Amino acid sequence: MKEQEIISCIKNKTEKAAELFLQRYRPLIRYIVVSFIHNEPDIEECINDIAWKIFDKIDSYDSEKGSWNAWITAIARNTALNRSRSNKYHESISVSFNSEEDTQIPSNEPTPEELLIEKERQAMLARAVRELPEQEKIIFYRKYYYCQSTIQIASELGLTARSVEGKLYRIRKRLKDMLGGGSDD
Amino acid sequence: MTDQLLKERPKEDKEFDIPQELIETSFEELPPGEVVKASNPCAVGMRRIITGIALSYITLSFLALDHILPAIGAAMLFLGFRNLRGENPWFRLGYICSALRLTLMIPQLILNATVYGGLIRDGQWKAVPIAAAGIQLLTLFAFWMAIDAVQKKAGIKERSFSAAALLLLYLLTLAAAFTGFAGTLSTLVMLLSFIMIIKSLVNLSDLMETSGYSIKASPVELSDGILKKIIAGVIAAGILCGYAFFSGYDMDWLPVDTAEHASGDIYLKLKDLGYPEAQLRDLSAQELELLKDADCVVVRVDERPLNNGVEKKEGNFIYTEYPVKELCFTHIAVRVAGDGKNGEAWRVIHHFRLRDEINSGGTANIMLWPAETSDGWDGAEDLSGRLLCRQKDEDLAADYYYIGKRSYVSADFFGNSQNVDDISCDFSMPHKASDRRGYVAYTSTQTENGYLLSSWINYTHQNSFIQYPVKTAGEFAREGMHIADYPFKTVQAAIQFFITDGKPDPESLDEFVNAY
Repeated sequence: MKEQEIISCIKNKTEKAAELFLQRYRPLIRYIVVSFIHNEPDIEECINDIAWKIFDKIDSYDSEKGSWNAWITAIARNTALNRSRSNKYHESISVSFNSEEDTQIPSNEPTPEELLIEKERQAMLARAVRELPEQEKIIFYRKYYYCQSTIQIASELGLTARSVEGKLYRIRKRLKDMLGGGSDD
Repeated sequence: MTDQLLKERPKEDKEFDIPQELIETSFEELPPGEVVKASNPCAVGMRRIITGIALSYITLSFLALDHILPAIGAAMLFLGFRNLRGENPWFRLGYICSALRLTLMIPQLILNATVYGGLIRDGQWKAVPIAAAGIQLLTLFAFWMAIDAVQKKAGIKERSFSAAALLLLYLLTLAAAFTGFAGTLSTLVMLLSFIMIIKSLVNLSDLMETSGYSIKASPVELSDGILKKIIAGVIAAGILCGYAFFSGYDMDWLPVDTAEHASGDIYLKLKDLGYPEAQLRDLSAQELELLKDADCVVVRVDERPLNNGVEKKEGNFIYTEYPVKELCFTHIAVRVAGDGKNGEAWRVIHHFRLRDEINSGGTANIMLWPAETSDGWDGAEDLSGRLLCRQKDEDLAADYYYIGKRSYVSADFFGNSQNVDDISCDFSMPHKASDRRGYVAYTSTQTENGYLLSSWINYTHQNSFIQYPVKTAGEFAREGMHIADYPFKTVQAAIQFFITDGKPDPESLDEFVNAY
């Protein structure tokens, strides 16, 4: 079944929409999710969450902003990332409940000036990433957006792990130079 | 997540640390289309396999593309299957088959830069192309099964038969090639097949955009880029070696004393009959023995150019002038038997000499159309000849690399084929030598009185070593009509004269042979 037909089925909430959608896009969604979640029951739960979100937000899909696959991967990635962070938060909360220490964390809310500087740096970095050559952009997104391991990236692109590390090093150096060499560290 | 990313980074990268939160904000709402398309585990592998299959089918017969493109295709297939070899046993089989095919193809490409490339092209080593075709068939079969396994793993219920269609189309192509099916209909069939192959490949590419996400790519020890450079380097080095050391025949040049027989009775008799001494000294002892009963000698000298001449214009008339003629023929006919009536036997010796300023790399060929090809004469017996040159003040002689009759199929300008038997001599002259010369001789018997003795020699010279695949002068000569002749030049000359009542008519020598 073609992409447009599946989108129509989802929008019209036809009976077989879910089945058709998952039949076609489960491999893609799973491929994105496994980089964030490694527990099989959690993976399946996450896939179902993602499918539900896609069905729920279908009216917000705009083909002018990006492709259907791009939209699906964005929802899949964000859902899996949030789920992963949520799992880690719950783990850290259960650790802190067991701790006898009572620490006070000082407030580190940024000032308006710092916020403005931060916004400028964000825009610069976004532009710099957009201007990366295609091969480097793909590696950058795979590493930092889809959070794939170096070994996975290397295998799928026909490179060695060392070669990928080298390219990532050069990408970060170039982005750092584009940001003016400053660092928040 | 930040902790996990930090753990993977080497220590020396910390100076280029960009905060994770900042990286997060660099991503746009939706990832770019090209990134999404490329972020598919089988994107690289499948693209290479599909490109490899397409290139393997292309047969553009100019600029050696009919060799280069399939070679690139074989390398792409190998790299593609290497990327996916761990996914299932069928991809692994495809990897092994594509590696085998590349292993067969690399020596073939190198061999094509030598005079021995024709052994495969002419079908003498039939096992090689048959093995290559069999391996390609198995590769396509493995590919079909691999795609089917991937679809099953991905839970795709509707099957795509594009990969099976590829296999079928390849089988049809092979069948047409092996049965020699030719003509306008076959060209149409091949064109349609090619279009359908491309369509199948496009369908496969679309299919992999969904089910390809279930594929697991395999790690590699050498990156694809390095491997491509190694393969290209090996082929380039092999081809250069081929040009440098194997672009000519391996001839056995030995010192010779051309004055050895100068005082002999046969030598002196022939000299008295008018045999030019410069050519007489070149004859071997065996050749002199065959001329021992000589009682009449007819000589004709011709010069021929091996260059492309100079274009001249006179009004609207454009013609080519050849001020320099690098090849000199001395045709000699010697009567060795007969009494002036029927049954005369003449030995024809075609001598040739190259001017020193012309290069003689690569190969050369002499093709004879002896007297027996005309009415009134029979046989081309006692075929013999030799080559001579001078290097470092020493005369050297060698036998022809090949001298004898060759049967082959020749095509004329209109594509009509015919079976031909010609006397052919293949040889190579040394690069740095002077006074390069030789001769070829045979004996023909007169069957009817009053017929013309007509003996033609076609000399094919190689002007440049830059050609791919390397074709020998002999292969070029046997192809028949040519639109373009680079890097070869073929010239013709002949000795023709009437023999009436046992007397040769030397006046008739100039009547039938056109001089440049």
